[in-house]
Amino acid sequence: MAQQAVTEYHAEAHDPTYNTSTGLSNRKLLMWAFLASDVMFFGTFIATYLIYRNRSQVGPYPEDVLDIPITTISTFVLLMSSLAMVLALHYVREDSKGPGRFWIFMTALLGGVFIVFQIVEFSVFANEGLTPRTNLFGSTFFILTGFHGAHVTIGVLWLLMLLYGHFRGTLRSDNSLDLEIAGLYWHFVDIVWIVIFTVVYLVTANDGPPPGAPPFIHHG
Amino acid sequence: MQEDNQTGKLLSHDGKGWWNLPKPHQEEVNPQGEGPMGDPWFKQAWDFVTYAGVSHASVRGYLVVAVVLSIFTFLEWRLFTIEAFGASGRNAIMLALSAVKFIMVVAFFMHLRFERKYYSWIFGAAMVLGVGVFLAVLLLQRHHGSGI
Repeated sequence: MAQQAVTEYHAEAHDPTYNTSTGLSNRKLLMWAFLASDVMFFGTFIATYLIYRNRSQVGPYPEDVLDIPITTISTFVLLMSSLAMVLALHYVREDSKGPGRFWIFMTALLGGVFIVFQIVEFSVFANEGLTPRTNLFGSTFFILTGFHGAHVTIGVLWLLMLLYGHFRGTLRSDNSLDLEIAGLYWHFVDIVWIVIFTVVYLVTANDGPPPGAPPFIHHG
Repeated sequence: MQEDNQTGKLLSHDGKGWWNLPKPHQEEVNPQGEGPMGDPWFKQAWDFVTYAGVSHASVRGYLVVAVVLSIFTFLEWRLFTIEAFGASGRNAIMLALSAVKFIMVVAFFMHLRFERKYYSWIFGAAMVLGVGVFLAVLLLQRHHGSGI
């Protein structure tokens, strides 16, 4: 009986029936539709990266620049930011102000750390001689990971705005849908990185020069 | 309550005849997959993670998911350094681990497991379409070379 009461409480509080044609929140539905379109967006870039795999005629090649241990750490950081996000939503829904603020801040902070990892990675690659104009690997890699980084940056700014709203009292349990929608976006950025980490980094990290192409010699 | 049901069954005719008496509790076959605590073990595990079906998981459930995601990421990195499986086998395992991570984040962190099915249909349809286009482009490239 107690469990049933809890279920009904949650169902009423967090999954209300909206006065819309679908009975769902139009804003939440819009976010899901946007994420569906973003699946195509990133799917296209990942497919392009794979199509041009092993077609660069000059280096650096993936085996010359990709640093898997460092990227594993940044992947872990982004995964933990997703954990922080769900905890933030959990505590904001419960109107626990301190933990709510703390976890929103931690989500933004971990997202910021991920961006720093990416900036450092891009700088190292540039020092190695890999830019978007160097070869097909550089073009497709920077376009894909750069757009992902842009998504993370937008997410961090969005979270900081929500944190400000929480301090001002405009983000509360009764309008926690604002945070939930931001959370959907944030987790989507996370799942895109899960795919990029495996497909771009782990699967292609040992790719060297294709047949006939010269090996890369770093002149730094 | 159980006794009332049995009594009711004894006193009523449900079309199967008076001889269709209920078995005593001791003679009932244990449900398939029953665990040591009574419920099927997977139901206990599922309830542990899903907080028995409410609209989102518990903090404990989120932590379990995060630990699994971390372990899988670590395994992917370790697999990358192991030569034993060969490139194809290693890639297949890493892609499988990645798929499980993907599904766990969507199901639990994005709450799709607890949401109305409409959202799952939208995202599922997008995934089918997205992966379909992705595979079609890769197959075209394979059959027609770089002339895309």
